[in-house]
Amino acid sequence: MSNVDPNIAGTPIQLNSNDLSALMRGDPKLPSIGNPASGDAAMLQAVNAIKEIVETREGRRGSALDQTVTWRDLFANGLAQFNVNGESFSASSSVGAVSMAVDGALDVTVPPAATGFSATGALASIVLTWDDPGYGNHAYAEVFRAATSSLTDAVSLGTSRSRFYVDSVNGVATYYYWVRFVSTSDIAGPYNATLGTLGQTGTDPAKALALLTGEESSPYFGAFPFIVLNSATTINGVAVPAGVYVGDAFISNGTITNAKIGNAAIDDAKIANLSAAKITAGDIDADRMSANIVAATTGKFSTLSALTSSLGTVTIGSTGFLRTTGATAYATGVGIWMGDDAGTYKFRIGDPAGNRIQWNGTTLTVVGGGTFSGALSAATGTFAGSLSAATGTFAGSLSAATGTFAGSLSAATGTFSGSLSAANGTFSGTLTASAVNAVDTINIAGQAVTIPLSAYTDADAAAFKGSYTTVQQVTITSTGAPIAIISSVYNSFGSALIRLVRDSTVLFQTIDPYPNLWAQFAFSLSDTPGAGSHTYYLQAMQSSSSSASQASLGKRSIVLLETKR
Amino acid sequence: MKNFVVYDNTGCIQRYGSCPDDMLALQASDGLMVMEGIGRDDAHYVLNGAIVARPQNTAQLAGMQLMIVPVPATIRINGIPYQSTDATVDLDFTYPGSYTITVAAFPYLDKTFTVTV
Repeated sequence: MSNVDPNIAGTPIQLNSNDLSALMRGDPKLPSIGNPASGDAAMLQAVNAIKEIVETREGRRGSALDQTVTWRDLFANGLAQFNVNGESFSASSSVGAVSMAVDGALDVTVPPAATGFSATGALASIVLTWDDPGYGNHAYAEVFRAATSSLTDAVSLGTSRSRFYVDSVNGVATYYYWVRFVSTSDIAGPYNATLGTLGQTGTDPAKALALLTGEESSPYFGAFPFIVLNSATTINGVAVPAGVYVGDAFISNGTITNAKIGNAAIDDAKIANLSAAKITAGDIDADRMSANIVAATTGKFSTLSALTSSLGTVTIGSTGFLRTTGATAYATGVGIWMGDDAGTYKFRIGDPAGNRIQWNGTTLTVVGGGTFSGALSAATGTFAGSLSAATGTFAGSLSAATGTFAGSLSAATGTFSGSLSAANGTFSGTLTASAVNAVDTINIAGQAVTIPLSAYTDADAAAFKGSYTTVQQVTITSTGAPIAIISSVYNSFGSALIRLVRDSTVLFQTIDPYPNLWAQFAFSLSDTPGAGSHTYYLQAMQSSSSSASQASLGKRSIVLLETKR
Repeated sequence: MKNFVVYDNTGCIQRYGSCPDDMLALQASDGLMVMEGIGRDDAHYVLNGAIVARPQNTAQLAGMQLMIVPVPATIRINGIPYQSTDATVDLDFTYPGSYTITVAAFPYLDKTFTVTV
């Protein structure tokens, strides 16, 4: 193993689960590249060059310095670590800077053994076929070949994702074949059998005829147009089986039990069963086509039906539509319809005359109710039935017969012809309701309702002659609306004068002498002080005509009601 | 809306009432303090930041004598206040009649007696 720089830094390379399985299986058994015996000179040169390159990179020839290093090599030498579903592991305690990650879960189910394996020889190739694998995570079939019916001598020939493989042997050849299935997790199943399946090409009639008629050593040298060979013979080391050899045959009507044809040009063929490695056709017309995989750049179907289908990207025409059987048009038939309707893209799920959800290009309509477990955002919304959501935000108007919001509800405007229930709600616009029943508190912006503000003291306060004493006060921040004032006081001792002052302005006062001793005195008035903070003072002064040492005022009350509505 | 009490530095509640939330702080005037809560001047006072019940007045009337009067106290007789610094107060009325006597000594609750001479 050549030295490898352990300080390799780079972005982790994403591998799939197949690669991890390959790592666990060990070095793969790669086939050797045989020497082409004959053929076009340029082709031979190219093949030989490829063979040299591959063997050099594999380290089978040339300098070891030119051998490529695989990730397997790095891992084995402790120069790389792998991450599998978040867990890392390495071959040794010395871990390099390089890492890889494997995604996806592994399905370690062992594929079944292949059945129906057969090898059919043509003139220059042997066609291998087998039954449909029939298991879920099939990836490909791997074909092996040996000159004898010994599996230990078999080498991998190649892989196939279909149900056959063509071994191009370019002439007379006899081989034994095996096949096994490999899953998408790179788990290989058992071989189809212990003994190999024999595959033989047929004798090329043209070559045999050439030997028979063109070789001086042949007893049929120079003989034409056909030769009947009663027994097999060997000419110049080449085995020529018994049979009838015809140079050029013109057959009006022929019946052949088994034919090996190297090259055929057929005007019209009717084939009951055709197995082919490759079909190149301008146009294939079939009542039914069954395939493991159909790969096409584009496909056009008048009608495409499938029991089940797994599709990646589906593109329909700009004027096309998708529908279920019953939904024959956007507004007709129960089912699902989606696509172009008279130049407008629409969809509808459900009954066009009943419960449904539909989009007609401008409006989303839900009939039968809607439940949003998450957030609902819309410019406007109209719900003929009930609307339930954890939270909801409507930039525009919201209309529904009934509504239930477990969380918050926000809308510019809202109209509920029925009941509305929400944990909390914010309406930046207008909320119209026939009645509002508040369980606790209704908080309205700007406190746009009558605000009561009051102060009360039960105990007596003293007032004396000559000057007013504040016996009660309350402060309000007014919006400028009129304020209704209700005030009362109980003069329990010594006659007193009463007045109401707002800030420094006397709004009301009784006239001296004040005769209502031992009486609850109450008064009310209206004041418009203007916006801002104002303090109302209830003040008392002992009447000049009082002979007591003081006046006592108890049960002192001021109530302010800023009337906004 | 919030309930509030306004009190002085002795904890004596001067007034109580209710107001919008944002007007609570406005209710305290110079020398007085305001706090949110429910209390009455005739039943509660503020002690250590809490609104608590005023204690029972210890004054007792025995004949024409008030006993165990909190010191100091204001004794109002038919509304006329008299200051007292004694725990025992003798009552003396010139004219016969019924007199209402109230013993006030903050933080004790006011206690009222009726004496008929």
